[in-house]
Amino acid sequence: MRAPAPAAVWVAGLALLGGLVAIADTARPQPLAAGGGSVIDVDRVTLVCPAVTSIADVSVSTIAAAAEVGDGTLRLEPLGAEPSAAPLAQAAAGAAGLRYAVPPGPAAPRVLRATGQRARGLTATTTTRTADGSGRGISSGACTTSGNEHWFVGAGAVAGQRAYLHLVNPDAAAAVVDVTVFTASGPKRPTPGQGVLVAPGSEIVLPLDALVPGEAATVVQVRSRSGRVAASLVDTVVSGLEPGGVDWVPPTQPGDDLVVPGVPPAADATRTLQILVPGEEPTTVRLRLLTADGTIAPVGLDTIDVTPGQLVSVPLTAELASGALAVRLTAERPVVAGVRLVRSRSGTLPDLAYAAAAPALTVAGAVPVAVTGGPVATTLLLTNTTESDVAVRLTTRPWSGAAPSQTTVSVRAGTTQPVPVGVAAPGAAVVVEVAPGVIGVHAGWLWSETGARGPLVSGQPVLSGARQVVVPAVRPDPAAGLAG
Amino acid sequence: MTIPDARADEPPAAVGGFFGDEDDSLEALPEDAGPDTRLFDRHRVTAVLVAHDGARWLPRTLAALRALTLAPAHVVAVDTGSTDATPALLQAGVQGAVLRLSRETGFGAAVAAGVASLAPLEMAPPASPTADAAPVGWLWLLHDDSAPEPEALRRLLAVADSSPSIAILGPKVVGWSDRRRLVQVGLSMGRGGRRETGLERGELDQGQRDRVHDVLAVGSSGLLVRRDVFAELRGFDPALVLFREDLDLGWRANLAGHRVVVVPDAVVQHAEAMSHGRRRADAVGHSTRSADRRSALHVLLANEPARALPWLWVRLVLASLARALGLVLAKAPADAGRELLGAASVLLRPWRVVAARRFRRGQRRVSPSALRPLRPPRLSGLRHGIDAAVDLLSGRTDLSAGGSMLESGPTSDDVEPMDARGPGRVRALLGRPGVLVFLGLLLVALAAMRGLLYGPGVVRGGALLGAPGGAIDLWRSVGQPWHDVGVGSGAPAAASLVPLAALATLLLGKAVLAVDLLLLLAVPLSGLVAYLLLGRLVGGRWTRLAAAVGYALLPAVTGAVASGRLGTATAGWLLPLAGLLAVRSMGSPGVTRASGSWWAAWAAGLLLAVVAAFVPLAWPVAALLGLLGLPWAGVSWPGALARLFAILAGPMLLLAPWIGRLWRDPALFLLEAGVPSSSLTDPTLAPWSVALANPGGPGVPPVWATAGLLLAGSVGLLRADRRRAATAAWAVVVVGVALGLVGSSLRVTPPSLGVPVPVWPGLATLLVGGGLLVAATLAGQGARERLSGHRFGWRQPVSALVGLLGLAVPVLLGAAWLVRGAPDPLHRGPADVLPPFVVASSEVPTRPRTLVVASDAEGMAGYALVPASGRRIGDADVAPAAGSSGPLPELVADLLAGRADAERVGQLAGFGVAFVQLSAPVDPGLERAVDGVPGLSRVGAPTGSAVWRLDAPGVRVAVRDGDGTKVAVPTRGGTEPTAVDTVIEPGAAGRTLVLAEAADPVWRASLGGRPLTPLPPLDGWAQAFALPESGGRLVVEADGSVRRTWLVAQSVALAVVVLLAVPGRRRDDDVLDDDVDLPDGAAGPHEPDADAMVAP
Repeated sequence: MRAPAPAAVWVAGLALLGGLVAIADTARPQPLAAGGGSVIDVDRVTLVCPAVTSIADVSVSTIAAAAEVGDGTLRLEPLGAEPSAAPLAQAAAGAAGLRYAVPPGPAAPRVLRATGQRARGLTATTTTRTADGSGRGISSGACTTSGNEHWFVGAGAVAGQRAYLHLVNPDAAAAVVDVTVFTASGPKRPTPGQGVLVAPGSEIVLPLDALVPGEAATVVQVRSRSGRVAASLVDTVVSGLEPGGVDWVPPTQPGDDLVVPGVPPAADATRTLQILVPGEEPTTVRLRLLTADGTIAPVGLDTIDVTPGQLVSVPLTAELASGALAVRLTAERPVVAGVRLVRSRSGTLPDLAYAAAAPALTVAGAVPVAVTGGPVATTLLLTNTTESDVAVRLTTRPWSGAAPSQTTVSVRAGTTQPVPVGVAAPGAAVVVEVAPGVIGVHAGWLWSETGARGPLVSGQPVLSGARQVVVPAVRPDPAAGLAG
Repeated sequence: MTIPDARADEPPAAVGGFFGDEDDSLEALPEDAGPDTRLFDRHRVTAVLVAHDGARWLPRTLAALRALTLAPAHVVAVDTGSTDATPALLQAGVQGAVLRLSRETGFGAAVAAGVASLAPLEMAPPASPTADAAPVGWLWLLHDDSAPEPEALRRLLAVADSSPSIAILGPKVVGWSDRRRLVQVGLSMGRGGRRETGLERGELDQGQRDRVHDVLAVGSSGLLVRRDVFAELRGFDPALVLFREDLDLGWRANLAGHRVVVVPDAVVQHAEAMSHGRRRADAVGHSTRSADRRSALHVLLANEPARALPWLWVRLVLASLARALGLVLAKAPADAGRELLGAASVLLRPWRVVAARRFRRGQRRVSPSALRPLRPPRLSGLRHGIDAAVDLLSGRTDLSAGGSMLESGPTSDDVEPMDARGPGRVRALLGRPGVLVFLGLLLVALAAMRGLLYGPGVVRGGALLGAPGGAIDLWRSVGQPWHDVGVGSGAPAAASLVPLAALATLLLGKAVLAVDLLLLLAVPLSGLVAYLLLGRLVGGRWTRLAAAVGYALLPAVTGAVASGRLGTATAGWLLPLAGLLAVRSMGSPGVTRASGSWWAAWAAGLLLAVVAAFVPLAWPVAALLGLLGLPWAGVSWPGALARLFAILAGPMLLLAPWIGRLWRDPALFLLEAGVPSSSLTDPTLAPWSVALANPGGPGVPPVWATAGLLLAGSVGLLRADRRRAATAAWAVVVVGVALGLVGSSLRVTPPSLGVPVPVWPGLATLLVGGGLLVAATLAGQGARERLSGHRFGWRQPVSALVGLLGLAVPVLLGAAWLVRGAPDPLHRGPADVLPPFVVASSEVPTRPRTLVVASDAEGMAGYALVPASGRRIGDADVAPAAGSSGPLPELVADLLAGRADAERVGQLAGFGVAFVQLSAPVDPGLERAVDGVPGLSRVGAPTGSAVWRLDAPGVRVAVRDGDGTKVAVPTRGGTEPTAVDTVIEPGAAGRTLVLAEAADPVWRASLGGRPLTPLPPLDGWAQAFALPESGGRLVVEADGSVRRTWLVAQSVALAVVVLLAVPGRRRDDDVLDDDVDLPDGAAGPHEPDADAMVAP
């Protein structure tokens, strides 16, 4: 047999190699998909509704919760109750939520527990109307989940002003929290606010004037070292012997693009925008006012340089914009912001209201409106920060079980649209819905009454209750943490 | 009688010592253009020819005596009771008396008898060195198997005449049939009694030793000694019956102030019949070995200075024991006995040493330290050992037996003589290219591994977990029935721990050093092995050098180092050795000694087992290559098949039961020892990158860096003259490419990970790279000569270009490695990530674990349960399967989502968890979420990480009452965190004993001596036992009996395989009688049949 020519061997060898590679190229596997987290529906929610500090005969206080109709339970319990104990109230099957009239008596927080579909998007508020007495005013406080970081913008500790920080631990394990109070002169960490132990199923109330006496305006940060708490802050003003108003300060979170929705009109009122940069770096905050007519860059307040850790107060006068509005703040670094409003006509008693930065609505937010007696007017303030007009659907589900009613409101881009909501006794859950995928609609609601001795007012952002939770993808890894 | 003290009037001749480098003080003989006709009249030479059954050699010896150009004045023949034709031959061939002595007469005694029969020399020795005319008497000792060449005596005398201080002279002794083979050019004695010739194994005479120089002694064949000095020294030591008497004589002469020189111009051909065992040494009974050893020790003890004796004695005892052990290993137990017998007969009879030293009393005139240059360097014994190992591996073992080993490679420069006039032994060693390759690559590796070799912590990262403190920890891991990894695992320990532990034991227990060395030496050793092996294939030194460097720096090797894959890093140099041994075991076709050897088969199997322990794929690859190669190589079928079976069966035997896991899930053959991780592999590896020997992943050079290799390798196919080798190399390439392509298209799910990871084609690209390099080397060999044969045309420029591209590959690879450096992901750091206070708080009787969570680049969070002892090398290989930990994954997910409540945290505590750690870099979202989980308290942690303590920390062992309350049971401590031996109180009915360990039949518990009944796994994973109401002594432990049985069986198997794998001691009859039977010139090195080297 003749040996093949070298060139033939060469060609054969390379062809064999090339063939193998070519075959493999067609059979290349897809790269493995990166494993992200999974999004699952919320199936358990625990909300803590703050205790009203001054329950008097003249007060009517109601806890109202708006929830989806579906499987699961929705129960209201006293704090620290055994799971087997009978609830204070329980949502009937098919009911849009739950309404509980708080009986007069010692102040005690209540815990709202929802499971199954009832837990999706659950929101609840405590509303209180005190027609007379030292605590005169109407107030509304959101029921909040426990967490490990809470921010409140507003409240003060000057003479005549009493603010109380309520720390509630609904869990079965103790929590330890630190309270930091930011004032105009910088952050303060008063000793009574450090390492506050909140036992399981208990409440600790810290008077703000015991922490930072003499400070007119503050931002309160509650951070847990371990465990978690639900926190709420109530502000009460008394000038001399006259009541000066009461309200809950809505909770908020830092962000670099904030919208404070639901700022009431300037008529008879002093509105103060309070801004804090929590970090270490000074920041320039850009301010825009979203009014019914459009977005305004306020003259002279277009941009504000903020020193970190120091609270800045900016009056939102009627000259800037007189109607109800929303404030949008953008900055390079996270800031917290809120609006404090004191409404008073000369010769009448004043009342307080707060607004705070709130996230945009995701799909739906609900306003559980509990009619508390008296001629109360409820107004939704819908703010559209997007580039285009947005249709917002309002569904009113009366507690009475009557058929829900729906309307659709169009909100022009860059405006704040006041929408009066008529709710008959005993109230209703008003669900504010935007089309899925629309992010940028913020809502606040105002609650006002022309009282005999002066106007009563309260407000709150409309929140989307948690509907889904992101669970990180996990996998066993024998070398976890050893990579670095 | 006045003896001229030569040392008094001459510079100490020792400066030109045996192993010295200085030129000696003697003038070499004048270049003799024609025959020397000087007669040296004043010198009277008496030859003493000692014969013993030497009929086979005697005719030639006698003929040589007759042919001498200067004959001795007298010849005295001494026959020691020969039974063959020797007496008759002597009678006929020697004029004069033939002394007949008994068979038992030793050489020394025979010479003494011969001398005694002489008439005393008439004249006194010369009064002064200048007295020219004074006659001098000489004795010339000859063996019956040593034939002096015609000029021998004349040249000896010429030197003797030149300096009166010279008392003993020796010729250059060369092989009986192969005159080119040097037998000895002067002798010396090592510190352990070794007879040192100072020659390389099988060194060829190329004139490199041709200078007259002082030595400690010369061999007795052809030894010329002044009669007066011989008398002064009282001849040979009568205590030495046979062997070493010549060494002793020379030593004593030196000590007495005489000079002993070797005259290489005088040549004696010597058959060394006695030491090769071709005739019986009747003087010492049957055991030449025992006699030889006895003589060696005797000479040492008699001549070393007195103050050195105690230490020498201890040393010799130890050395003899070690030698005996070595002989047992070499499967020669009888020799071991003789060795010990010989040593004992000297060492245990000190009075004989005293007598011997008394014999020498009064002879010494020179300080023993003056002889130091004549003794071999201190570490020469070690060097001999290394030489022997290298020879063994490169198949050159038998070269020493006469240079006739047909399958030996070309006379590579490793056995090329060193320049004897070179500047020193060290320099000579450095001058060996193989050593240079190793040292050069070692420097490169040191530079590339900057920052890895010094500093706190251990080397880890990538696939490599940190090494534990000592070898004992590794051995413990090998032996324990239960591994504290994750929720615990009863899997057999990783097989790779055994070689690692063995290496660590050799390094005095330094496990960390073992890992460091394996990584550091991966590249240099690969280079050295490649260089040695390529020597069997090609001759060109530069091509071979470049190919060796290229092989060592192949992307698979440097990539393996960078990603902490000990397996491929080790396979880089162990696999070629295994392959070579496998080839050796098959024998070479077309060669006379084609029978192959069994020991090589077992040794190949042993090496394959070591490699497969790290890289299991090596086993199937070996099987594939063996089965493909066997028919192709055309070796003898039944024997070769059986040996192939032995090679493949060895690993199966040694790696059981660990390898059983792989057979149950064969995809695991594609992974290798260490941490499986997708981040260590390039998931988008292009197929042609495999063909370019680049496996992808961390630490590999750019793909194009090896392009020149493919080009140069393909040229190898064009060499029609080396087609067989080139085709074999390309077959390996094609197998490697196919393997790599199949591998990298697969995804393997390691049980401990639960998610598929891509396969790293390291071993496959190693094959590709190795094959291409061999092909390229074939292409490069002799290319210049071949090209110059052609007329200048397109061939020359194209070849030059290809050659340049090929030679650029090692340079590119080296530069890429140096620039990038070996670290990342390999790095130096603490062995594990637990902060010290967590470790301290976990070393309590409840032995809690820490849940360590780290988010990876893909946004997934990896978690591990880590005991206080941390994670160590080998742990990842036994980590429990992902599905065996019950609800742990959901618990961790809830924890990281912040959804966990107190109940979930309680479940987590059920896993024995006391701490939760988020490792750096911490995802702030996860940190916030875990911060809010009730039942966890944040505790201080090192910067970058976050640690929480469970308010109700978990425990390893607890008694659980019917209502769910748990009471911790203290554990025994030590290395088994779940072992319990304590007394518990009586309790309520229905209580259970709960272990925070995965349910496994290996767990045993007993209360008061009565075994407890295991319950079904608690929560789907945990081991639990039903506990009666009564109290008593509670004992919990993992049952190690099965594991122990396996270990014993494996140890026996290992011992057997090691014994079988040790090359058998060369049997004396195995040493070819080539010196006699082969015609002159037939033996000796020759051009190799290189293709036979490659083919199995």
